[in-house]
Amino acid sequence: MELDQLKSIWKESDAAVSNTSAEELDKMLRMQSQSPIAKMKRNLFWELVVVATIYIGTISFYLFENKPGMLYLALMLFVIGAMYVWYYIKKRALLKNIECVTCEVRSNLSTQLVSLEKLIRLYLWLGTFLIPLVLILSFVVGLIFTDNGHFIKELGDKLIYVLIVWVIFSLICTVPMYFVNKWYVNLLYGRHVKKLRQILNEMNETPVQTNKNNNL
Amino acid sequence: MLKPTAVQEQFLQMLNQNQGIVRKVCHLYSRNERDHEDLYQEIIIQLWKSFSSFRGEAKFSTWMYRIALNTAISDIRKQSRKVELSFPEFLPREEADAVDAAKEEQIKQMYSAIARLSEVEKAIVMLYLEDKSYDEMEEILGISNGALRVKMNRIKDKLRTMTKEEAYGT
Repeated sequence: MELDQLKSIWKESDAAVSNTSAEELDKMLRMQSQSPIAKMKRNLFWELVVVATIYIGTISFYLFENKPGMLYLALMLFVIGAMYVWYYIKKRALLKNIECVTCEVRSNLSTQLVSLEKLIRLYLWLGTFLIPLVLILSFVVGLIFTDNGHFIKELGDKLIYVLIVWVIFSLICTVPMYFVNKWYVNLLYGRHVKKLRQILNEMNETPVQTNKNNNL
Repeated sequence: MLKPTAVQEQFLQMLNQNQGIVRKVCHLYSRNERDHEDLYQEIIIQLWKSFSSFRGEAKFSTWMYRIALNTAISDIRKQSRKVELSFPEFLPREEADAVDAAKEEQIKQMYSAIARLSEVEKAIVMLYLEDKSYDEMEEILGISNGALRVKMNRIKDKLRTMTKEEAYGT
């Protein structure tokens, strides 16, 4: 059987398709979208709820303790929280524009791929640099501000060496974290990105005509 | 159940006028009944979400093809989890009832071959079977007219080879 012979059968099937009732439609519209992007948007929202609950709770606790060390811990969490808010806004903006279902298929897939790659870069670099940031902030809070700065006074001239050791330690921790993040991001989105790229490559290729029968 | 709104009624009417588009996309991009229903529901949700933005600049069917194909092709995660089957688990009943056994076998072979095509090739085949012009295909898929013609020729050759292989059991 040739493809052209299937055309008539294909067209006949239109008449046999049953209509959707108002009840069925209503039931479907009440359901949530299960597309990967819709799930990512929902996950981001719940991530915000969890992070906001934990951070607000912890910061409030430290603030109400009203001890100098605790205040600095609250400040450290506030800085990390502010970074999370920036990450949330950035990720939300990317997810908002990640797809255009009413656009041509090729341009929609291209938009998806570009946005997903940006999202991966954001996730990768933020996840990686969060480690030295947390370590350095912990250093500042833990060594300098707790105990009313008594410990720092004891260190005296050695402070610079402690600082260097701490920075080296932070860098050593950052390098493996980059690879761990890369592995994790690849686990989350790697297959999706690969498949998107493969489909787009197929759409973008300009095939060379080898068939003599080009009279479609 | 709440009374459908005027917009919902208008949407339902337009959906039912073009129901075949959604059903056919679901036939081509699902491996079983459950996938079919999931994809159908997902396409309806996407159509409904975008309905308010439909300005009538393009034909309603073109707009619908875009959404249906974008939804089906983008649902990659689900596709990659599926077991790759060489034969579709179902044949559209309405088509199967209308033809005799020998022809049904040929149709099954053709569907089986189409099921093994890539996501992009399936979309091109579907639009070709729908008798869409290459300009319309370009408007839906975003692939140039010339490239579509060449791809279509390649697909025809591919399907011919695959159906022969299936018929001779190689």
